[in-house]
Amino acid sequence: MRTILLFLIALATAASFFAAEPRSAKPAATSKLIIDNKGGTDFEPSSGRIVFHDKVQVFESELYMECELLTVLQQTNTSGKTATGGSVTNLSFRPDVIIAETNLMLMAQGTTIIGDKAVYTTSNETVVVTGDLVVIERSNIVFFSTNFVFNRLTSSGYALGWTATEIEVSGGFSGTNALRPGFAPTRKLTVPGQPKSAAPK
Amino acid sequence: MVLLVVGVMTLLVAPVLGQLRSGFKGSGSKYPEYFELPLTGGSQTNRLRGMFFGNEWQHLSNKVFRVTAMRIEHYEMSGGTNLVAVAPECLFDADARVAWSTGRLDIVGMNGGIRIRGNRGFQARMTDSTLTISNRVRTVIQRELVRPITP
Repeated sequence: MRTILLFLIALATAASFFAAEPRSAKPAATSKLIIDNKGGTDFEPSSGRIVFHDKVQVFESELYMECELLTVLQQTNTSGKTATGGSVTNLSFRPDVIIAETNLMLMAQGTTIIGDKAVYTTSNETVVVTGDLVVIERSNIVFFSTNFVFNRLTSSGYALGWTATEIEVSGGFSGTNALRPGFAPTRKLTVPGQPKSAAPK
Repeated sequence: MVLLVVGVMTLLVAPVLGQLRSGFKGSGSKYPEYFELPLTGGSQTNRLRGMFFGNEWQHLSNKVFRVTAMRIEHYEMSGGTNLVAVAPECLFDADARVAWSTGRLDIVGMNGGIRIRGNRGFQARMTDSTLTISNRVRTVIQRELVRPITP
C-alpha cells in the first residue's frame, strides 16, 4: 500500500513537472505596447494627446516600429463620450489615430515597411504609409510605392499611385548543367617539406 | 491717525513676515485646479480638473516650494480620475501652477491602461493640464486601448 502511495506521489510530481514545462518554454503573448523614446514626451490628458519625441521605439509581441516622432491622438467625436462632454468610464482615452513620422520602419509578421509617415486609425484598423519612397519587403519580394494602405482586419493592402515590384528569384529560372561553385575543381595546397597526406585542407 | 499708524505698522511688519515665510515647512497641502468654462451646463461650474498634492512643503523663494511625495491627479468632467502622476520630489511654483523636477516621474492613466515612467525630469503645468516628461521615457499601453470599440 505504501509503495503504491509513493508511486502515485512520484507520478503526480512527474506529471506536474512535464505539465509545467511547455508553459515556461513558450513565452506568453503580451498584450502590452511598450514605447521607449530618447527625447521628451508631452502628455495632455484633457485633449487626449501624447507626443513622443526622438528615436521612438515601439515593441509589441507582433510588431516592432521605429520613428522620430510618434503622436497618439484622441479625436473629439469619440463614441464613448456622453452628450455633456464627459465620458462613460475612466477608460475614455481611447486613441483614435496614431501617427508615426520621420525615418519610419515597421516590422510585423515577416514584413518590413520603410517610409516617412504612417497613420494608424483604430476604428477601422487601417495603416496608411506614405513617403517619397515607401519600401515594403516580404521574404523575397520588395515593393516600392509612395502611398500604401494596409488593413489589419482583412490583412490586405493596396497601393495608390505608381508602384514597382522587385522579385528575387532564388535558384534561377534557366536550367543549366553547370556545376555549382562548390563543385568547381580546386587546387590542392601542399606545404614544402611535408608529406602530401598532411597538407592542410 | 489710527489708520496711518496701522498702515505704517503693516509696512514695517510685512517684510518680516515675508522673511519668516521663507523656509517655512508645512505638510499635507494641496492645490486644486478647476475647469475654466462651465462646459457641463449652467448649473455645473467650478468642476475640479486637477489636484496637486504634496506630503511636505518647504518654502524656497517667492511662491516656489520644494515638495516631497508629489501627486497630481487629473479628473474628467464626469468626476472620474483619468490620470495620476507621482514623483518622489519636485519644485512647485504656486503662482504659475507649474511643478518640475530633474528626477523620476511615474504616470498611471486611463485606469491603468497607460503607464509612463520618466527618469530624467519633467514639467507639469496645471493650468493647461500638460505633462512634459524629459528624456528616456518608457510608456506601456495596454493593447486593448488601441483596438477599436466593439458595440
